[in-house]
Amino acid sequence: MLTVHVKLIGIFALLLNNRKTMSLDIQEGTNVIQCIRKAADFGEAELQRALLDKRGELNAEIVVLLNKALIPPSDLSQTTMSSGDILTLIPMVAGG
Amino acid sequence: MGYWGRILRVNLSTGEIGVDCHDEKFYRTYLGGRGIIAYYLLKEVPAKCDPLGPDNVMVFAPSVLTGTSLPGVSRNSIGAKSPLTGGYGEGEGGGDWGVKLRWAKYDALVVTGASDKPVYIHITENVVSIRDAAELWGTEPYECSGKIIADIDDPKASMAMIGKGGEQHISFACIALGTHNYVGRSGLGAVMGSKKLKAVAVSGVSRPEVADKEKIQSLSKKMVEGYKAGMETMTEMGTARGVPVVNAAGGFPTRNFQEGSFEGFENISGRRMTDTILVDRKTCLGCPVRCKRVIEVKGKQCEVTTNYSGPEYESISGFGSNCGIDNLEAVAKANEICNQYAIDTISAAAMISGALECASKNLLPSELTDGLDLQFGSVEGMLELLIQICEQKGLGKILSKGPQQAVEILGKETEPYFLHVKNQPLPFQEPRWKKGMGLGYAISPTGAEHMANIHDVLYAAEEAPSFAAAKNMGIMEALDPSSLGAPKARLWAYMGVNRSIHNILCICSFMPYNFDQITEAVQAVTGWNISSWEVMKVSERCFNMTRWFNLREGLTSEDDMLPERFHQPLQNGALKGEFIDKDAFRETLDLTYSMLGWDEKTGVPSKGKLLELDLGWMIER
Repeated sequence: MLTVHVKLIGIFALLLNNRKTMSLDIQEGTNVIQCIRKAADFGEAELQRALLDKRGELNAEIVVLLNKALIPPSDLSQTTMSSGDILTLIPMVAGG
Repeated sequence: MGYWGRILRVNLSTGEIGVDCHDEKFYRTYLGGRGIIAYYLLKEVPAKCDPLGPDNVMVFAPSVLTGTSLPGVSRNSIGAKSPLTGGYGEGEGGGDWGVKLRWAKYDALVVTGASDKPVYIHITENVVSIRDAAELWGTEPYECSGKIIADIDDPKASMAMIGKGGEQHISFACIALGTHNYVGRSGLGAVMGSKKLKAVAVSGVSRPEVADKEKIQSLSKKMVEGYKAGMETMTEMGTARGVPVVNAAGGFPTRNFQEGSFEGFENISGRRMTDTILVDRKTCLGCPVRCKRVIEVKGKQCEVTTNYSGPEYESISGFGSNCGIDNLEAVAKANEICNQYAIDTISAAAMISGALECASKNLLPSELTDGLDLQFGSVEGMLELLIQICEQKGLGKILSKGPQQAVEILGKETEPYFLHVKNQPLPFQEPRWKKGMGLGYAISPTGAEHMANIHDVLYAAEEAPSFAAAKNMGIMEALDPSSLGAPKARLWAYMGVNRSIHNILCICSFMPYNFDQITEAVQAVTGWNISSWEVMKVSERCFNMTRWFNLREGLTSEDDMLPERFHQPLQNGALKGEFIDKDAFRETLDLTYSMLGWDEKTGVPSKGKLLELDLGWMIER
């Protein structure tokens, strides 16, 4: 097992009772989207709906940073996590 | 390079056609779009003139970047004195109309006077003609476009057109750029209608030369890479991609902004659209984002064709959550009706949701409501009211006059429910969530607008890539979206004012240009040794020009106010109980004035500020 850290920004922290970070134990080979699903499981339904759609895919307009580097949506399932990694989830809703 | 030095003028009263010639100083001072519009409106629109009279002036303005191969610069701005706000009116739209105007070797079009019969203007590089539009009057943009193409025999021509909304002077009539892009705000379609100008068709083929092709290629590559990193879901799901997160944040306007979370959000999301009624995607010329939705609904109550673009986020929230409707096909139908008549979806939806709330409180006379199902959530009621607006009947005819006039007719007790700033109905961005956005609604020259404004969430985390733009300007700490006070005033004074560069250079907000890259783009196109500081000063100059125009028309700092609703608590969602404290808001607004070099109480720009911005000519006038 590996330990990684997840930082929740803005509304995501609010939906987890203002908890801004969490540490997760994950299997080796876990990718970013799997890690986000695990983080979502920590919260109530509101957090899960804020992060994931019904298919378990990441909602749009969420910025995902892995160790401060931007991970494009198409790379979420191809990027694996390493021990000590910090995953940051930022809501970025600007409308249009 | 980067400009032709020629601005086309057409006087519809006399039929005169001419050209204004300008030099580098003019283009470097105003750049395009809002800059050129504000310049001409201040110079040529008589103070206090009737916005629907022949003295009003319309300016169609792309920028020095438009028509080059850079991505995301195919938009153009249109401006006039607004019949809706009585002040500076402007809107922006995509497509390729501005590109074609530049390819016809004109940098802008100024239309003065008014025709006594329907006409349209056709512009080519060598010939400009005012043509009869009797047969076009009454047509919707799709039909109008086809008829003009046949008339001028140019299938590649681009059109700016009004529909019946503009012809009937509906206060929030808009202008169609082709059939998939709209200049929605400020009621400019009504101004065009008042001039009996049905359309402006442009046939252009001469691309402007640029100073540094390699730099343009390199910037274009960076933009496409940047887009791939953050905007792929925009292509996939369009501007409504963020609905689930907006809703989770408690900022999804619901039932006339009473609430911030809508139980039916998933049924009207961008994902839902992609999975159900989306059949294709369209794009502005040269843009890889392809945010435009092409949708189709067959054989149902809400049949929708592919003639026009599908609903954007604003229309989805407006006709959806804000009317309590979770039926995407009904939202798409409402959007299509607005497009057919060419009226602003935001304003129409806001007026309808206001009427629904009035009806829920029994504030509307029964002779206007009989036979209508005016409950939040009623598809039939919403669509019927929209048709009434478009066809100028019953309650809809009253709503079509805009918030202030509707309240005058319906009674003072209805005032709290028609939400607007400077009579511009509110877009569907919740200011109790994004309080800097609320500040922008108040201070924007066009009334409540969400584009040349800040989205607080972009500056809420120092880790966020979007925060880099603020840091670049010297803002070192992230700000809570719901905060007010001096740091928020400073954020707005820097980022808010400079957001108008998108309306000046006609750049799409979805292309990830940062400020330095915008400057690089101007350098590459024009060859000028222009700095970011100078570009920022153009933004500030134009912001002051639009402010001056409004002051001249009689608007005051008292008009820089938010509707009372936003000083009341949200009723549900993650931000339940959140409100904008009136004193804190006023204090932040006064601070923003002060930071901008304006009188902190009256919001009048100081003489020193105007002279610093080389606007002495404006004071003299």
